[in-house]
Amino acid sequence: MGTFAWRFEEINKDMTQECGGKAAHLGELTGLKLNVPRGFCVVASAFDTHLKRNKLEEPITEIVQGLDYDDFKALEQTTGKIRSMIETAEMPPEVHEEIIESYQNLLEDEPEPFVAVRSSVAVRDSAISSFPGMMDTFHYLRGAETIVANVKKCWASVWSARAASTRQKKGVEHSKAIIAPVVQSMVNARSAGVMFTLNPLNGDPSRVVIEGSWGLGESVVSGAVTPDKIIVDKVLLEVTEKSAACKNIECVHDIEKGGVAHVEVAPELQNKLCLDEDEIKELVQLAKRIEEHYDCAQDIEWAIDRDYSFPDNIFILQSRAESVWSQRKREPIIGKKSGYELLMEKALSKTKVNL
Amino acid sequence: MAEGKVARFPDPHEFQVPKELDGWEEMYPSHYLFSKERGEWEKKQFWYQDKIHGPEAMPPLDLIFHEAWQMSLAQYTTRVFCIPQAQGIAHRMVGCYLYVTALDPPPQEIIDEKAPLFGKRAIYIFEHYDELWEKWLKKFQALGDEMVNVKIPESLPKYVPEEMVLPAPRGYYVTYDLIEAFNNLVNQMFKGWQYHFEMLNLTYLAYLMFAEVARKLFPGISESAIAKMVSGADVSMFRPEAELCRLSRLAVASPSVGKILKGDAPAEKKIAELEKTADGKKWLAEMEKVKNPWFYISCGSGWFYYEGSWLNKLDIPFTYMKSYVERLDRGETIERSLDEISETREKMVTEYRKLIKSDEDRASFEDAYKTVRAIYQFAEDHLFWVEHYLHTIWWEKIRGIGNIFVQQGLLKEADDIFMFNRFEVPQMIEEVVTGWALGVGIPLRGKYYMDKAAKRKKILEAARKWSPQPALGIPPEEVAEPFTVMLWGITTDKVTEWLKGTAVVPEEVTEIRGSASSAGVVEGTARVLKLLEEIVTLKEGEIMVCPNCNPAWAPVFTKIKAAVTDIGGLTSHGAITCREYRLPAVTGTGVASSVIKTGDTIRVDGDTGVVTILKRAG
Repeated sequence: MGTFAWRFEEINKDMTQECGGKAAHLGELTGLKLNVPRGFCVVASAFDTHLKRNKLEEPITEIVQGLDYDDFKALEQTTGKIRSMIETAEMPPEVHEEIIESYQNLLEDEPEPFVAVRSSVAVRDSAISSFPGMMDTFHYLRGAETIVANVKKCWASVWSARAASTRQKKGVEHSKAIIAPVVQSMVNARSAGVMFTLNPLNGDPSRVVIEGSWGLGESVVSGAVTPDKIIVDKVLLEVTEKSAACKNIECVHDIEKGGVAHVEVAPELQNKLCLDEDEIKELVQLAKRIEEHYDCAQDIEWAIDRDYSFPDNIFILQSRAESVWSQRKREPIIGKKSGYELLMEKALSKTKVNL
Repeated sequence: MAEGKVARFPDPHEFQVPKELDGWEEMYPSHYLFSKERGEWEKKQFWYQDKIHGPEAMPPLDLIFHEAWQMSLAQYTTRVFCIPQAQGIAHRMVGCYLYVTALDPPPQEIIDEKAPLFGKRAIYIFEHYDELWEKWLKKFQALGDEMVNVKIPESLPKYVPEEMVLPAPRGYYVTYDLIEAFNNLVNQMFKGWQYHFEMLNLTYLAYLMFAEVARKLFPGISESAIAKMVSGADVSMFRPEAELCRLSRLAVASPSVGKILKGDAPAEKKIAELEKTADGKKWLAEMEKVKNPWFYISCGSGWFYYEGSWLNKLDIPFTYMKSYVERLDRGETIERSLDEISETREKMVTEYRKLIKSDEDRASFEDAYKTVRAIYQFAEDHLFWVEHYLHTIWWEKIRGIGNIFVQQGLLKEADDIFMFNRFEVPQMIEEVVTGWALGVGIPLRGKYYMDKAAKRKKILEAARKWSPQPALGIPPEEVAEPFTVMLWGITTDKVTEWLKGTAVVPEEVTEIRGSASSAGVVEGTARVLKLLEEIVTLKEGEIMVCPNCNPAWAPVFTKIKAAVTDIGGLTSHGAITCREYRLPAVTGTGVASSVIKTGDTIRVDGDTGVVTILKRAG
């Protein structure tokens, strides 16, 4: 195990203080032998070292004292200064070296793979281990120096205006923010999306609800397209509902400029379901395994790679506790009643036909 | 409804059937017709066409089954088990089609009166189901034997045989015998239908109770998942097929028999061939033992005389056995694995139970499940004994009376007797036996009856071509009658769909909806089968489209890719069979067999219950 860069295989769910929530769970999922794209985490101490070595802590604290959170434009400008301080400062050589080595060893057969740099966050001495959608993710990066630059960008995103104001609103001290960027091999997504291990609309624990679209999952998460929706019975593995939406835009690799481009989906694919039957079944099986492991309803990001064949093409990109129903107390719905009591109730009831 | 208007269907008293059906009223008993005296009450009800029990235009004599169930079903609900909120289901005929209505709940004081009676009586049945079922089966088989033993003379003798006169005169003869025979057959049928509901109402109530529990815990659970959890494996409806499997194995064990069964000759020839060898005779003797009761299975729904049974269409079981023997030769397994089916069900129930978060809910689910399972088998077992076994015996006997009518010049064909209702047949018997008794050279009103039969057949033919109005009267706000919800699935969606109107040209329909009864999606060529005999035309890999199907059709399921039916819900036997064979199925579409034509390319989506006509044939 390195000092600053830990491989997913070395990480588990209890390491949120070192690795942030996302990396901790990616490590846990890797440990379950699920198909998680290979990756490593640049642990929290790396960022701390970066700040210390470059003597950034004091100047940042000074700037922060003058922040006006209600003036969003000013906030953007001021935090921009902090971000540029972080990004322009030189990365401590021992951190730099470990990142490059880990990147080059990420895949056996490819010294310069495409990767994504994603944020993984937590709050020091707190159970909070995610700020969904607050930090930035960078896709289709390649080359050691590019990775290093994007790790710094990812660090800096701790000081995005929205992240800063969220911390302020939630009463989280800025100094307690943990950021541990994840460098993960890129899934060249044909389709991607999110799935829940219950129906988020009514809390039905017997459903897996899958939402997906063509290309990277960004278009689903950001709400840029209305995704396809598939509801599957967990026990029977039968589709009980499916609707193919019109998905006119997809996020794909921008080969010329690098990064991600939003492009028009071919007309014949726009209304076609982005998953086939086998893929749906496999996703549901994965969802069930993950939920069972955590013993808690999950919200899972998945992607299907263009370049691999089934079932190796199905990747799990993230899993976290579902945020609404799983947090509620487990109140009984029916309560303790005998079969005969229930029968009597039914015999005394009428079924409403609404017209 | 929008604009505050009460949504309603045509007034049953103003509704007009097509002109070609003129005269239909005289075919049915007077209390089955809408009438002025009862007009005020009739106008307030919601009448819908009973596509489950009366999907086709009703031959007058076949109405007897419906007369019998109208009174029996209601009796058990209102006066025997006293289900508090529920009343019976009333019937009317409109243009040869059966319409039914679930009556409103009784006044509160009656509900209060019934509640304790229900509690005591119903729960007793649940607690003693197993022993009650054993008793039920015994008495039902005794009733069947009694009906089998009803003697219909093959012909009216020129003179009463001597042994009936000397040395001890019997004292009553053929004139009385025939009157008594028909009366007995009618009474036995009514009794059989009384038995039919002995536990059925409670079974349905228990199913609905469990379904509600399941839906509260799992709001998105499909009807088919609930049905799968509740339904049994070893049920009487599947027994005829199981017996064919057993006979096929016996045949394979003595190669000469197997060889004959694999041939292409009609059943009759195969039997003659088998008679010639010792092995063949042994096998035939085994088949004879199986015939009663298991060949008494209808080739259709069991509701119409013309559907026939294995008993009088031996070619059907022989075709199946041919394919079973061939499959055995190839080393395939032909039997349903009952253990496997039960195991799968248990596993499934365990998995759902594990998903329940609260301990209390889990305990309630468990007990609700135990309650429904304690009784549910009745829903699956009674069907064979009443609708198949008893009806088949009855039709065979009635045909015997029809033969006598033909011999005496009253009718042209024995089956024409079905053109007369059960109140008319006694008149015909009386005329025939009186004429015989009066002596020789006595004229009968043969022309009158033959003309009537011809006219009624024409009316029924016209009725078959007509698409009857799905419903009449004012839709209800609430339903408390268990059969209405479970069997006919009267729900908001269904009524709304009917209200939209069904007056469309069949050729223009491109999408049909029904119950998503068995999961999966396939596309293929449709083969529309109106009657079971037509299965010989079925080709490997086609999609079967039929009015309804039962386990008598089971061997077809190894050939087809998917099934679509007009009638039947998720617990229908067609649906169960499809799920077992893992074929996509959409059931209860109402119209598939008339809208879809053989050769059309269709897509069956068993996940959502939609059938799409992709390309019309020719």
